[in-house]
Formats: sequence, C-alpha cells, structure tokens
Amino acid sequence: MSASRFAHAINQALDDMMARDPAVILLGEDIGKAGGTFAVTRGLQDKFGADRVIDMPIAENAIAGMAVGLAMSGMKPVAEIMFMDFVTLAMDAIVNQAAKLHFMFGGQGSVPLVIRMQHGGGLNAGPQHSQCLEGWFAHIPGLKVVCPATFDDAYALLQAAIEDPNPVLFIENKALYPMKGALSDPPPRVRLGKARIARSGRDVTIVTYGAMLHTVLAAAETLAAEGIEAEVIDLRTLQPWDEAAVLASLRRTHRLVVAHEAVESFGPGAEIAARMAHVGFDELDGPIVRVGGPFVPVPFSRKLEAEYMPNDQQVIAAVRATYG
Amino acid sequence: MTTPDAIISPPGDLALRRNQPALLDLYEQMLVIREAERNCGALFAEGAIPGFIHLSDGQEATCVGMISALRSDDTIASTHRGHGHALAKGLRLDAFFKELMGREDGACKGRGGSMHVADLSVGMLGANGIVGGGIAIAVGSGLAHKLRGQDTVAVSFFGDGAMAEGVLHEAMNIAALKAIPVIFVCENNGWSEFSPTATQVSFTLEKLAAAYGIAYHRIDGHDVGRVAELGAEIVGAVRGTGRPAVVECLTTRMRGHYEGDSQRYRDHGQPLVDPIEVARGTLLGMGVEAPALDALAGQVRDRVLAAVESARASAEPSFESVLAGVYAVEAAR
Amino acid sequence: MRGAPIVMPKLGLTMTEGLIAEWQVRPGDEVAAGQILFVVETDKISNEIEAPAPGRIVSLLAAAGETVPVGATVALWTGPAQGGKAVPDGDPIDRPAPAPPPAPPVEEGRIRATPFARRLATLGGIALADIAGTGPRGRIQARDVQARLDPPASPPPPTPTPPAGRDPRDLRPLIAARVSRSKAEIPHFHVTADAEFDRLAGLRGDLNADPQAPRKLSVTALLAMAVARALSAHPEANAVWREGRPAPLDRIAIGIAVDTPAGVMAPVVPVTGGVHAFAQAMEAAVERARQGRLGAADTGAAAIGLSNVGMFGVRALAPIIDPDQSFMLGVGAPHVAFRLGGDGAPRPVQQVTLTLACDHRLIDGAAAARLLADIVAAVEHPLRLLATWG
Repeated sequence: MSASRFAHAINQALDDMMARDPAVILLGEDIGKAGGTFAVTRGLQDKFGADRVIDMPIAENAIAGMAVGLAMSGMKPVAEIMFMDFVTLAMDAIVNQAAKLHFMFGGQGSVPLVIRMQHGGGLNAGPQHSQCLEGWFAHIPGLKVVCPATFDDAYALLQAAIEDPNPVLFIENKALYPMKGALSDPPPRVRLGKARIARSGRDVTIVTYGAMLHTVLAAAETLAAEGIEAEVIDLRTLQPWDEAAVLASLRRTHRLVVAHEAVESFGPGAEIAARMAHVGFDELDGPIVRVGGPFVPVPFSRKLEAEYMPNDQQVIAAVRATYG
Repeated sequence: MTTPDAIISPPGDLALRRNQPALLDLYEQMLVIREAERNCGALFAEGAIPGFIHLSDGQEATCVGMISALRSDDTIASTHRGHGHALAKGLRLDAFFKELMGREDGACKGRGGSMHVADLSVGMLGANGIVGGGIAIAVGSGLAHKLRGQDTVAVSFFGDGAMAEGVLHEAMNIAALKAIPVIFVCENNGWSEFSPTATQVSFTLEKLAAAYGIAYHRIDGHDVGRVAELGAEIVGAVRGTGRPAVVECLTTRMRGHYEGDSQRYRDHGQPLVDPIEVARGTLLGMGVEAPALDALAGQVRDRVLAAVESARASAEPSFESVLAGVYAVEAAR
Repeated sequence: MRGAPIVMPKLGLTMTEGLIAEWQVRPGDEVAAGQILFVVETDKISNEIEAPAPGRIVSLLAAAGETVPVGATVALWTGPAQGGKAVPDGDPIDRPAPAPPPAPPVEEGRIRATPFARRLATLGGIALADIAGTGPRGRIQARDVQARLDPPASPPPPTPTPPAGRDPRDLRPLIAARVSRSKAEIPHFHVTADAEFDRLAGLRGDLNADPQAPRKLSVTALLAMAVARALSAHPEANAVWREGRPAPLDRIAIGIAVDTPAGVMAPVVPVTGGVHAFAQAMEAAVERARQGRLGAADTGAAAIGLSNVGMFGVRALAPIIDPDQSFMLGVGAPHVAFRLGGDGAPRPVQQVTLTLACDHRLIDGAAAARLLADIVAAVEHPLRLLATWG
C-alpha cells in the first residue's frame, strides 16, 4: 500500500476496514459523492456503494444519534463531523448517549462507533473552524479519544478504533492532511492507550500528541545542538493515556514539558502535569511546564494566527524553564 | 381530553373488538403496567426508590397497543416516561423493580434507574433521560435493520413535549430522505412538563409529517383495541414499504410530570379518560363477567407484589464493579 | 498581641505579592528610622524595606521564604501603622499568624530543593542545609547535590548527620521496591558455567606482590574486567531493554554489588583504561557505598552487574538483575574440582561457578551461553586482561 499523503492513510484504513467487515459503514456530510471536504473519503462511495457510504444532510445531532442507534443494532458506524467545532451540535448524542449507554444499561450492550473529526489551526479558517476540543471528551467516562501524528498511526489507530467496542473519537489535524509520507507495509498494529517514544533522550521528557509532535521534534533538534537531549513521547491516545510510559521517561530525565496545540488553560496538558506531579513527584528536578494555545479564540488573519500557534521556540523556552 | 371527531383513521376492522382473548390479553398487560406504576408511586413515597420517577398512568393503551404489533426483534427507544414501554416490550417485572430500587441484579445493575431502564435482548433500547434523546437512536436502529436487508422496524416513542426539540425535525427529515423503516409514535398527552402543548409548538404533528412527506395517522390512545388494530396495519405497511410513518396517539397523563409534582397548572375539574376503564367497559359489553375481571386484577396485583418483594430482598451493588463497567472489553452482540 | 502593622509594600505597578527573602530584625529589637527590616524579592529585583520611623518590633507574622500578598501584615511593631489596621488586644488581625514552629527560630526559613535533589541528598547522606543551591531563589537542584557528592580535592568532610527523624541508610524499602520491579518486569533466565580459577588467582597474586603496585587488586575487580572484555565482544548484549526494544549503551560499565550494613548497594563503575584505572574507580565507589555516600555519578547506565559472594563460601549465586540493567553475574567461592589433564589423569583445579542471569527480552539462550563462554574464557586467560590488543 502506498499512501502518499496523510489523508490517504486514513482513506486506506477506511477502505481496508470496510472491505474486511460489512458492518463498517460511513455517514457524514458530503463524504460520499463529494468524497469529503478534505478528500479524505474520496472514492469510497464508488467502491462500496451509497448504502455503506451515506451522505447525510447538515444535522450533526441526528448523525451522531443515528450512529449510536446503528452501533446498538449490530453495525460499526464511522460517522464524520466535518469540523471539530461542529461537535457542539452533537454533544447530547456523544456525551449523554454514546458514552454512557454501555455503563447505564449495566453492560447489556456496547456502542462500537467511531466519530471522525478534524481539529486545529494553520489554514486561517477562523475562530469557529480551528478549535482543538479533545480535552472536553477526554474528560467523559466512557469515551476514548485518539489523535494520530504519523502516517502509520493514522492508519493503525483508525483500525484499532473501529475494532474497539467502545465509542472512539478519532481526531485528525487539518494541517496534517497534505503531509507527504508513506505507509509501512504493513503498518504495525497499535493498541489504543499506548504511547510511542518518538525520540530518545536523557535530559527532558516532552509529552505531546497530534500535529504538535512535528513542532516538538524540530525543537528537540535545536536543543540537541545545545547539548540538551529531549525524549519526545507521542501519546497517540488521550483517553486512556499511557501514564506508565510518561512516568518511566520522567524517571530517566527528571524534567517534564507537555506541549499541545489546544488551549493551555484547562487543556489536556493539565491532567498530565498534575498526574506526574503526584506520582512522579520524587523524580522532578524542576517544575513541570506546559506549552499550549493562548487563552484566545483562534484569530483569522495570517499574521495573528501564525503568532497564535504554539511553535518550537516556545517549546525550547519551556525546556529551559524546567532548568530554572 | 380528546374527541373522536378528530380521528382520521378509518374505523377499520372491528374484529379485534369482538375477539375476547386478544383484548383480554391487552387488558391484562395494561393492568400490569398500572399496578407496577402504582407500586412505583408508593415505593417512591416511602423512599425505597431514589431520584426522579415519571409515571405513565393513563398512557397504557398507547404503549400496549402499539407494542402488541411488534416482534421481539423490532427495536424501540423510549422517553423518561418509559416504564410502560419497557414492560410491554418484555422487560421482566422483577428486573424492573430491582433496577428502580438500585439493586445489583436490576436490569441495568442499578446503574441507570427509572429513566434508563433497558432490555436489549427484547429490543428495548432504553428509556432516556434526555427529551428527544432516543429519537435519532431509533432512526439509526431502523437504518441498521434496513442495511441488513431485514423487514425489522424501529419505533421511536416520544411525547408531545419533544416536538419542539430540533433533533425530531432532523430525524424526520432524514427518515424520509433515506427511506428508513422507523415509526415515530407521539404520545400526545397535551402537556410539555408543566406547560400545555399549545403554548409550546406552533404546528400540528399532522402538518409536520406532511411537510416531511411522511405518512401520518392519528389514533385515539384510550382504546387499546383500536390502537392494537391500527398499530398492526401501520407496522405492516412500514415493514412492506420500508418507509417511515408518524403515529399520533391522543392520550392522557393521569399523574404529574414527575412524582411529587403538585400539578397546580392543571384544571382538575376536567374528567380524565382512563384507558383501563375503557377496555373494561368493552370487555363487559362483550359478555365477560365482572368477577372474572376482578379476579384477573387480583392475580396481577399478586404478581407485581411478588416482584416488588423480590426486589426489596435484593443486594446492593458494589462500587468496585462499577469502575470496571465504564468500557466494554469485547463487542457485545 | 498589641501593635501596629508593618505590611508588604507595593513595589511596582503590577506587583501583587512579594517573597520575604529574609528578616533582619527579631521580635524585641529596637529599630531606628531607616534601618532595614526585611528584604523582599519580586520577580524583578530584591528590595530592602526600611523602617519609616523608630519603633520596637513586637512580633513577626510571616516567615522568611513565605510569599505574601501586597498590603498584608508581615509584622507588628510599636511604630506608626502602615496601611492595614492597628491591632488592639483580642481582635483578629488581618492575616492569621503562622503556627509557631516547634524549635527553630523564624529566620531559619524553608530550604528550597527539588524532589529529586532531596532524594539524592537522602541517598547520599547529606543534609540539605549543607548544600548550596544554584537554582532560582536558591533552589537546590540535582546538580548541586551531585557537586557536593563528587570526591573533592581535599579530604572529604566527616560523615554528616542524616536529617532528623530519618535514617538515610535504611535501604530495605528501596531495595525491596527495586528487586520487586525487576522480578516483575524482567523475564529472567540463568546460564551457569564453571571457570578454572587458578590462573586468575595466580596473576592476582603476582600483581599484588609487586612492590611498585599502586594498590592491591581484588578478585572482584579482575572478574569485572573479564566481564567487560567479554561484553566488548558482544555489543548487542551491551544494551538495556527500553520501551519494547534494545537500547544500546555507548560505553561499558559494570554494576558492582557491595554489601553494606544498610543493605546491598550497587554503584556503576565505567570501564575506561586498564585494570588499575578500573580498580581505582571501583575502590572509590565501593568506599562511597560503604559510607552511604553514593551520588549521581554512581548511577550511570550499565548492561551488567557483578555480585561476588565467593568470600562467604557459597558455591553459587543465581542473582536478580538490577531493574535498569540486562544481566547480573553471580560468582561463588573457589572450590577444588578434578579435571582430566591432557594425559588423561585427573588433576585438581580451582573452579568458580559463574551464574549469569539474563533478560530474555534482550537475549536468547544461545547468545547468552556464548557470552558466558566468553566470560569464562576471559577468566581462564587472565593475561588478556592486561594486554592492550583486541
């Protein structure tokens, strides 16, 4: 298999899973005939038919609610919400229904659905089309939240998400869609909840996920030139997150930075920092420092958005701050 | 509160009316629900049932009649006032009371309670604590039936109060567009919580269904025989055509929105039509002896009481088991 | 307590709180106008706060090291009130007095140290008060502890008293945690071999008999060199299992198990240079271990540890691998065995039983056996340890 862009890796995963299991169906706005706003689902309706790649009207609440009903009745739906910002319209179906039914019904059934959505800035799409809201869902018992940063992970995590009997939110980053690369053949299988050490190092642990991984790796290269070797951990799954891997790394480096594009205040990094400050307290040789988006809606203009986005200089400054 | 001249559906075949055993069975089911709800009210007043409960006295004919037209593999989604739907679809009485009392062997292991009673094994996809929360779920379930090429149908029970929720409109639009075998059953008791429906919606369900191009039927929800008869026709049509339908059952909510509701907003001078009385009258008219009906009521009381007693004796759940219940480990079928 | 308040002043437009870096007066002091009362640190500068008028200090209400909001009362005195309210007897003051510390006076303050630095200091048996912190606001960091632990040019200071209430040499909980983790995480297997010991014992005797020898070499030091030599021929074994894959080490180091009254400690000694260089480093590390003064420099990465229990007379030791390593070699006591000589006649030889514990994630039986065979070969040909080829 030879996906040449990140979006193709996702397309390939959907293709392979639908070929393997007739219960896997897609539903969303403009995913069939038009192939998706970012062409992620291109070609799938031609291949699998309109009964399995279903174009829906603009009705996020019903789309998500129907995904729940489909999942409870033996199907494995992969619903798409076109922009993560629009998930607000589907909150009841995701939070009050999908997340809770397995628990609330005493384990009678499960809700094996996946909801795909893309987040992130970088395209000047403005405040209502650029948000990173994954922290909301990591906070809901019953949901799993996944955010790939690499080709292989985009494929393998989507595969694992579809196979998981629980509701999984699969978060893609719009700025990564055109990223060039290649899938391994075959891509190694990945378990939800396992992080990956993207770069080994002994001086500081930097925990991140999603597109921010690439920013962090760039910062790590700059730091290496100064003699600071960063260990970069790509969480891959936010809920559940690989606490053991982060703690093991902290035991080696004794310094921790958490970096993500989502707003820093009350963001996912706060959970990681607080948890490590607790279980990893005796390992810390400096404060835990976070890097995240500022407490501002994502601004539109090119200059403003560029300054909004967390960058490698901020990551470097955060690392330095752990040295005091 | 309803008048027969509003009924559009044709009188239809009155065979059911003349069919004693079938009507007797429907009557008994209604008695079970009424007795169960009466016990729920008492248990709640006594403090044995925590939280909120929403009793369905007066709406028994609607749910018993419609559900009598369904198979066990047809799926239904219900509302916060879902005790009757659950029992009529096949939830067992003891599992029902155990769940309401929060016991570990309740239908949902004590984790859901009154507003979330469910039994997936008989196609009851759950009562729902969110107004309108079950509607899209039912449509999705109907789509699943269709995609698997079966003639199974899905039913969404909702109250007139849900007519103002956006998701109902989204769901009806999609059901019509995609030809999904789902039946939208509105139990119109004229009340949206504490407000008369007329102050909540600017339209009639009939006009709404027409706007979405969905077949509409109105039924007097006090006559279980009629509801069963017409229900069977409508369900049969949906199975055959694979297209959705809207059924408006005019009914009466005999008690408050929830137990403890003083109902100051209601005009208590208006007489309430009790579907159980209606059915009893029909049966007596068909020649069934009153003492036989009383004996039946006595048996029902005993059955329900036995279920309540077994629930009282049931064990409380442990919190440790709850922590393990958040995520499914294997896909359940 | 009667007195007028002395408050935390606002030293800048955006200042909301200030850190009392130190007090320069005590309760009961008579102060003159202009005398420095305390020093405030903000994130910009240090400020000396002067008494505006003469007076007598009645009480201090905030300790050195505390951060206090602007305007809060930090002390009471008999001079004029500055902001805040005068506090008559019995009324609640606008900031509650901190609970009086049991013994030390207020000026001693709080020692700032990172958790990791505290741990290193405890393990090294050093009191935090004896360490100069180079971090922000005098915070003691790991490098400061390490600097204190590294052997100085002058004779080392006497063994410091451990912090009150805790014996830093009570290692059992630490040891318990480490070995439990090791057994839980590392799939152990063991390979055993007997090595002829005569030549190594003989070489050691000869080297130690030389009057020019700078030190007496121990058996353990020579064994460690043999292990290092064998390991250098098996680079894939000089690695540790990390995050699901082998992480090769860039140098060879050996963990040396040292029996101390507090429990076993295992400093890691790098192998650089020849036998004597290693032996010198090993000696120093062993001495530090016995004194409970191991430091960060003793905790480097190593693939293998060595535990020689031969001096206690036991035949063999099947050891537990250190959780951060991949092998542990257990060495038993030399004992006499009979081997067939070239002429077919049995001859007595000294043997030691070597048991190599191995991490099966990293290495399989055959490769482990080859490694052990090379260790045996190095023990049985000890002259190679002195040679500079290979």
